[in-house]
Amino acid sequence: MTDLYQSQRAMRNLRQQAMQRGVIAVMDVGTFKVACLILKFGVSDGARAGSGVGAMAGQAAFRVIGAGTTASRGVRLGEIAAMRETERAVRTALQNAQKMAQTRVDHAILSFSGGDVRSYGLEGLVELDDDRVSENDIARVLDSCDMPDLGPDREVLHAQPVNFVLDHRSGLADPRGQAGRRLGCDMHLVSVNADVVQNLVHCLKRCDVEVAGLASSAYVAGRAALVEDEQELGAAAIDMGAGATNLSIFIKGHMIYADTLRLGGEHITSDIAKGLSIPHSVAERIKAFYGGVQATGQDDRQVIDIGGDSGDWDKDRRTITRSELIGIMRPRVEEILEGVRARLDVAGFDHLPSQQIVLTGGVSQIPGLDGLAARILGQQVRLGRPIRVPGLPQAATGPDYAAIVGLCQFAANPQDEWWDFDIPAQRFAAKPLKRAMKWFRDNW
Amino acid sequence: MSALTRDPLAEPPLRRPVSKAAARWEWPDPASATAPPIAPREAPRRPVAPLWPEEPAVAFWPAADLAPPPPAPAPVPASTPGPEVDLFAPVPPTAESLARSPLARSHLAHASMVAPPDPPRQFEPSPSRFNYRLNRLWLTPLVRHLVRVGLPLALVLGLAGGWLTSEDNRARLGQTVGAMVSTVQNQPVFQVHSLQVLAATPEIAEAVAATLDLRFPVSYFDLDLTALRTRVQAFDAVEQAWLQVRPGGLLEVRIQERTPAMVWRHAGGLELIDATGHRVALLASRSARADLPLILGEGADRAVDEARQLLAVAVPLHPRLRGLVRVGERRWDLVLDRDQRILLPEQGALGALERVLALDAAQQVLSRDLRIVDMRNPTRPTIRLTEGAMAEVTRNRPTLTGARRR
Repeated sequence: MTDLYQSQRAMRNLRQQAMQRGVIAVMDVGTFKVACLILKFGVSDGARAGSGVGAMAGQAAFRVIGAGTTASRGVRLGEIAAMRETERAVRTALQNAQKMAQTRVDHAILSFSGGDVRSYGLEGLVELDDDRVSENDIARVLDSCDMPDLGPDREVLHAQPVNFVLDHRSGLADPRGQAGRRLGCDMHLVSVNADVVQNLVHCLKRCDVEVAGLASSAYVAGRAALVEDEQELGAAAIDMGAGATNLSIFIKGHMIYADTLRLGGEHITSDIAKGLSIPHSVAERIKAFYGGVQATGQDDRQVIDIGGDSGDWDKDRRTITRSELIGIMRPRVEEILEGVRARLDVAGFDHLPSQQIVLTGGVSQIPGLDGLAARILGQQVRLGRPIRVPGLPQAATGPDYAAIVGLCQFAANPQDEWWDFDIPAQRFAAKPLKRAMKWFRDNW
Repeated sequence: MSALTRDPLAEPPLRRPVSKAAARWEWPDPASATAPPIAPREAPRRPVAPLWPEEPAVAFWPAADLAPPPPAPAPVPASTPGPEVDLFAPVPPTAESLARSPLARSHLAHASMVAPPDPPRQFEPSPSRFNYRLNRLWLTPLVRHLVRVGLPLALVLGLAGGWLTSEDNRARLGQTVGAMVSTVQNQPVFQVHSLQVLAATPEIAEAVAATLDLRFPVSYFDLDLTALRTRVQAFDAVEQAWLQVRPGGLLEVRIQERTPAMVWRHAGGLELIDATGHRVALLASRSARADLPLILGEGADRAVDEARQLLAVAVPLHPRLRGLVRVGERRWDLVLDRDQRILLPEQGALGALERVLALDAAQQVLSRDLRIVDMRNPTRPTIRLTEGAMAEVTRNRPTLTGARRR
């Protein structure tokens, strides 16, 4: 645990160094695409006071100066399946972005959708030494949270203090300096499969780039796609990617739940490919151009040439109607949405005061998805696009870039994590004392 | 993955685009049908290696069927009997016979089948690891500057330096540059053709022109005007000189001459000096410049200032004044006619002279028969009488003293 704490702190230091140097890359390794943005920090100090422009969540501090996107290779279900292939894709994206930015980057913040994200809510409680809450007390209370059994080979990805309780008052965002006797906290912890993370880090290391931060794409997509009041009042962001569908629930500005469903757009494509016995690339193209989930009479008359490259005249001139295509796609989309519904039910989303659901990610671009989702998930469903960040190319403003835009925010304006606080003094002092004792025993 | 919002009603029914040539093609009469030519698809296939060498390599329909029939062979003329053929002689194998033999045939077929296939031409969009690293290296600012500025600079400097290490090359470079420089400098616009000396006295002008000793035409760049000016100003008679090259190749020398203020007689003879004491010219005789006051003695030229002040004060004495004598390089004597002298002190000579003048005005001291008025000790002015006067005084002294003593 201290290991993880140290490695996360090391990554945070790297991140701060890179930001002070001014350039950092953010990278989203997905199943369908690998996207890379290069951010330049210190471009301006933000909007002028009195100009009517708010702080914009710290975005004014940076600007996107380079962007590169390439088709992902060797990634299945958001996890690396063929390391060399993925490395090539990462290299391509990085090189394109670097070329656009005309600078090299040595540090990258990474987000990924695989790794079986699991979410835990932890509680901690300590008696205060003093009559006021100090910085050390916060560290102590975070440290006092009982660590759940994460299972073998799992690591903590996020550990965010969500809420503080002082005596009988709950819902405190920052209890420092307040008087009280007992301090409690709620912490939200997200764990992932360590091997998945290790693979990604290794992949980036092979591209001569150091990982300066890790984020779950569920979290960052939620930060990008939910507007501020949704984050405050409570909402679920559903990032429908190609390999996995991630959902995150936000309330009071903090993520309180994250989960992943290993189903995505790639499954829809493979359904089409299998059902029509056409190549995967053609299936992807047909899905993107003609896909839908709501068939109408007009769709029976729209004929889609699916072709083939067999040399057989009949096979190469096959056609389907759009309603047939919809007939293939819809069950899978429904399955995904029902899976999401089940996860939300497990999380107890229906107990939340606000039932807002925001769909984002590449799959959310299927026409008619919002109507279908409203039937399955509830009435308050909207399609979310990521917020705008300065310098972002027009091509990267769609919902399929929600995760990477959220990653920009994560870099510019990070939320508190457990490792942002120092280790409490008594725990810190234990080791040197032990070492001194050993030295005495050895030498006298 | 990107969705496109489409309006199916507005769209024409989807068809594969039909090329113009294909549209013009008509289906032939089935009775006389030869098969339609196979339209080339997007990616033409590589021809398949024939399994058997006898088989035509091309396609299903042999080209011979489509081509017009070959012309009938010309009737062969009756063969003339040639030399007799030895039917039992061994025949050398031809390519055809080799191909007909089963072993060779299988060998040939096999060879054509195992011929190495073309490598798959797959498009690889990602940069190679080396390419990627090179790219990153190129984007490193230091490397970039080194390559773009440092390397060319080093290359040019190195080449130039290497070339210049050879003595011959340096000499040749010097010659070339020298030739170019002289070509430019010898352009007509830079030539100076004549000299004009503007001076008050023609003798001085001639002397200066002779001293400059210029051989025209000369290039402007070869004229060292500062040095020339120094040479002109080295003349005693020249107080200041201005040299200027005028348009049209005229070197103009303007000279301000020194004005003689005094005549100085010293051991070497007579000299004219100006108000600062600087020598102007030699003088043959005093009478040549009788209008100028005379000073004498060593170091007199260094005290010209004081001499001039004294002369200005001694205006009433001018008719009698012969000259000023510098004594021991420290003080002045005024020499009047009748061999009279006024000895002035080192300090306060002017005041002493004024006192003498006042005495003279009150009591006509200087008109009396005395030789020297000695003011060297200002607290005790002394006069020395002439010898005749002294004798007169001593002659009368007893009478005087008796009368005084009573």
